[in-house]
Amino acid sequence: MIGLVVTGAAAALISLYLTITHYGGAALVCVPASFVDCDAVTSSSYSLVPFTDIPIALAGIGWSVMSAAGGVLALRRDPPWLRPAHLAWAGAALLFALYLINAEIAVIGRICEWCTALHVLIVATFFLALSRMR
Amino acid sequence: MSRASRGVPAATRRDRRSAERASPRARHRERPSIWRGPLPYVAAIVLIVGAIVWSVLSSRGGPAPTLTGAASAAVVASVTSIPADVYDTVGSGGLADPLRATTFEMLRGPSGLPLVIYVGAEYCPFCASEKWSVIAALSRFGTFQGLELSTSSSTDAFPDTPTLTFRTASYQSTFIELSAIETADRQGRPMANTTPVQQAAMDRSDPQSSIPFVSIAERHVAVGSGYRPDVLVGKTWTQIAEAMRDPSTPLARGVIGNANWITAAICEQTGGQPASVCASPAVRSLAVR
Repeated sequence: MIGLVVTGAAAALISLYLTITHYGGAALVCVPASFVDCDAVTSSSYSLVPFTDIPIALAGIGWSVMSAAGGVLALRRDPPWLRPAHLAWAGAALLFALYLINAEIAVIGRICEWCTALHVLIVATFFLALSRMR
Repeated sequence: MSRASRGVPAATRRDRRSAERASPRARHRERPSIWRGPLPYVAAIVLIVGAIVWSVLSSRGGPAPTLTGAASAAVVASVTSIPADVYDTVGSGGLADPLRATTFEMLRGPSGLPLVIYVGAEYCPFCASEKWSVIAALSRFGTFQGLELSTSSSTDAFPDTPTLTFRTASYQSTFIELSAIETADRQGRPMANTTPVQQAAMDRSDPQSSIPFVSIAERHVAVGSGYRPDVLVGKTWTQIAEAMRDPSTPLARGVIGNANWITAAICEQTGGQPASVCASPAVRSLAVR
């Protein structure tokens, strides 16, 4: 359960950084590599919530905070509805992350390492939530 | 009372039943649960790995698109003759002004007209997207010759983005002059060096020499693409040229919206000439911002 808090908090921090750079127009700190181009990814329309001008990173903050809050609640009371709810929350994020990974690899042809870190945290959250269903 | 329960004291049976009612989890534990086995984990791993493999396989598209000579000419003709009502309908296309105003003196070309500078490279995907707008906008002030079709690099971001190249292009206008250069081909091999005028403009406004670099008489400059290039992904030149004429498409809002901003910046330097372009509703609405 502490793992859910940690992954949620880490994802919130990364999402916050991505949101600040989006609105501030600053370049992301990104290690140059042949398959990494943060600017290409974050300047694509896939960096926005579909049909809006809202950066996905902003939605990511909301998701991460809720996930971390779920972890905190699990530590304190752990009501019966929390486990399936957290799994559904993480599962939805996992599917959206796979959509974004496809956009990075198949459409943009580059990945963003900060986005990849977020995807890893989402996958970790999903498996932590899944393990709590036992 | 069933035969099997005969001989068991009634109180014991009641206790057992009430214990089972009070503890549904205990009863649940006795049944095999899907969550307890490896199936959910295996399914999730298969989903994740499968999705990534599918993405990698679909990223290895076919060869870069090609067009016949006649079709190429049709694309160039279409892009350089977009109807005025398309520009007016699109307006800004929802784009913020991609150009930054400077405090420099107006830069003029050899014949004294405001000088528009474009510096880019054929491999560069953001140059590929920017050129659709630059060519559309400049075509409202003059005439291009020798524009050819090309694609961005197959190994860069947004691989094989269809575009046009200034490699063999020339431009005639009575309102502005154009100094455009492609510094490298689509494989990244050097093609040409920037001229002293182009380099000086970049040094002043784009010290990191990022491309594409667009300067409107040094009074307005843009570095990078004015719209998101993924609207071009997966399309052919012909599809892009057709979509540019349809104001309802995201592609037109990007390409034409960006072209309108460039047009408005040029009109500011030409003193509002030609009026047929600079007095149009879209240009006037962007110029007053």
